Amino acid sequence: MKLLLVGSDMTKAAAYRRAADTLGDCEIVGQVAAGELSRRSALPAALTGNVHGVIALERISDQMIDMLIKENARTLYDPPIFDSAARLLEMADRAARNNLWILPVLPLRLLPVAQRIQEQVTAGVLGQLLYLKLTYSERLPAGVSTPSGALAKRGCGALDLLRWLLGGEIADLQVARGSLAPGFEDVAILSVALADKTYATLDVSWSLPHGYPKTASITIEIGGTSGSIRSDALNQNAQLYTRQSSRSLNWGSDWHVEALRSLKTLATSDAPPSALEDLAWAQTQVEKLA
Amino acid sequence: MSLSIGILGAGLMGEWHALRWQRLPVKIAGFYDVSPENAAVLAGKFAAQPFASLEALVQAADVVQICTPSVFHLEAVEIAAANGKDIFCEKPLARRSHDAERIIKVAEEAGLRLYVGQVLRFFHQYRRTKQAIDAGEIGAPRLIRAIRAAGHAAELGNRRWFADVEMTGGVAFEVSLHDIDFACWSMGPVKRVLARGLSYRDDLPILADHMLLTMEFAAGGVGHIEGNWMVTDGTFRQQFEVVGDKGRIDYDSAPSEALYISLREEPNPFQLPEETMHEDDDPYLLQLRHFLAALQDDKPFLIDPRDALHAVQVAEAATESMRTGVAVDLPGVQI
Repeated sequence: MKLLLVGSDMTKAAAYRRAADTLGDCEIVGQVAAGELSRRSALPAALTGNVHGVIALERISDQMIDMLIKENARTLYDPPIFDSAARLLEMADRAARNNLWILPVLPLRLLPVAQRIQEQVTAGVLGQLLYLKLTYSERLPAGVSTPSGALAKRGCGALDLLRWLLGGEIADLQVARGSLAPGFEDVAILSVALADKTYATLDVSWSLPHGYPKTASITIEIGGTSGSIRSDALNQNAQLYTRQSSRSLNWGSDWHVEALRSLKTLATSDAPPSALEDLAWAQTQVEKLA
Repeated sequence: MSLSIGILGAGLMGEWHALRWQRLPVKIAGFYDVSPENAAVLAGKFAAQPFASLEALVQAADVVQICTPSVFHLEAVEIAAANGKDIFCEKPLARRSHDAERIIKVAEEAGLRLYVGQVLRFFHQYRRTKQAIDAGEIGAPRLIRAIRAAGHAAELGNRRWFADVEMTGGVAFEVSLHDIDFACWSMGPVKRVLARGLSYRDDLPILADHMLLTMEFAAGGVGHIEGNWMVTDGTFRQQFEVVGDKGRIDYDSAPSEALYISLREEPNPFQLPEETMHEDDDPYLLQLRHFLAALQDDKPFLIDPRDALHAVQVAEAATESMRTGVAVDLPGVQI
């Protein structure tokens, strides 16, 4: 399967390249900036007709949707920040009318640990569900001075995980915002009550300093009447002990796991595990808090 | 001549403290409990006297240590104050904030020393973190997270009263008050709370209490506290993260495991941990040493009663938020 990366996020691009190498039957044939693609209104000539899928690392413009429809390119949608809920629903409608397949990357539900938790929940192992607690902490990327707030950038994924694991209708949703770096909202703690009395906190932040031995940390805890699950979903830290010292071995990010799973989805003809409507639902909740 | 300590309440905490008083240059005058049998058992164990009334205990002691359920603290303080005795009151200071205010007023008007046993400040992980914050090692603290998790206390021995949320205040008072105090010690007073939890759920087939609390601090910054009284495997866990604008401090008593599942099918009864700490690290002993030293040298206690009052106010607001489902602003804290 030949894939084209659209966008300039080199960190994410590297994760997708690594995932493609791991899969073996995927090839990243190129990377272009979204602006460049829009100006040409088509794929680079050498790639036209030679690409099966697109990984969009930036927002998808109308012109880009035209191109995707023309090329019938299955698409992973993984921008740094999503569009408005209204725009997402427009895209979903247009994609459906043109039989275009767009998979929004909602990474938390793709994590292997989250998959295992969901299996346990579905099997009823925990009994009647009572609560969910998520903490999703990341290192602030170096050189980024004015990123969007934690709620805008990470709220959708957190809310999607909530809906995926607990289901149910939201009865009340509130947020407490914090700021570690002056003028920058880098902490958002969402507090959720569902109509069936389950409740959750979704704590998203850039709260890992550069000296921290992990680049990201995700903990998911879910409790029910029959038991509970606590998880350290990335668990990146490994200790190296020698006769002289001990130190942390940090291998960077585990996001390639999510990239790998996304590419596997793209490479199959199975129905996508999440749809633009899922993303639009989460974005709607975030917009209510904004 | 050594001080004599009268211990009110011959339950778990009464015995817990008596074990440590034995290591200090004080005399345990005796015990009073609504159960004379319990008082007699501990009196026998510690070579002390069982008393038939609270008044008799108070009159026989130099210091009264209150180890009863918090709903009875005000009455005990009033009797101790009427007899001119200094007071060590277990946490929480009271079940209701108006009682806590009254306790402080009674002690102040009687000119007595009042110490509140918010012992977490003597755990070295928490004490060292406070020192680091005060020294500016992580910059201005802006975010605090904490977890305290164990089995339900009502499953430990004959303590079913712990399941009565009106009496105890539930997990907010009996579990998370420790972390609320630590959060306020680190970041100042709280101005608003929102809590979700199980304290007022009466439709569950299990004995459980749990709370997820978010807090906004008057000086800026946010907090996220979990109080968990539904651990099924007998383990106890405490954890915190304090994040400042220059760095962060983490502590977790549990090992990091990718996935940890515990089920209720064969629950282990909740047990208190064995005493494995070296004597010099035992925070309960450190607390008593501090109490004695501050009392004898007439120096301030590490825990100001008004800090204890604020912890009660926050816990009370959290329970109110859990009951009503809405955020609660704290009185007297400017937003």
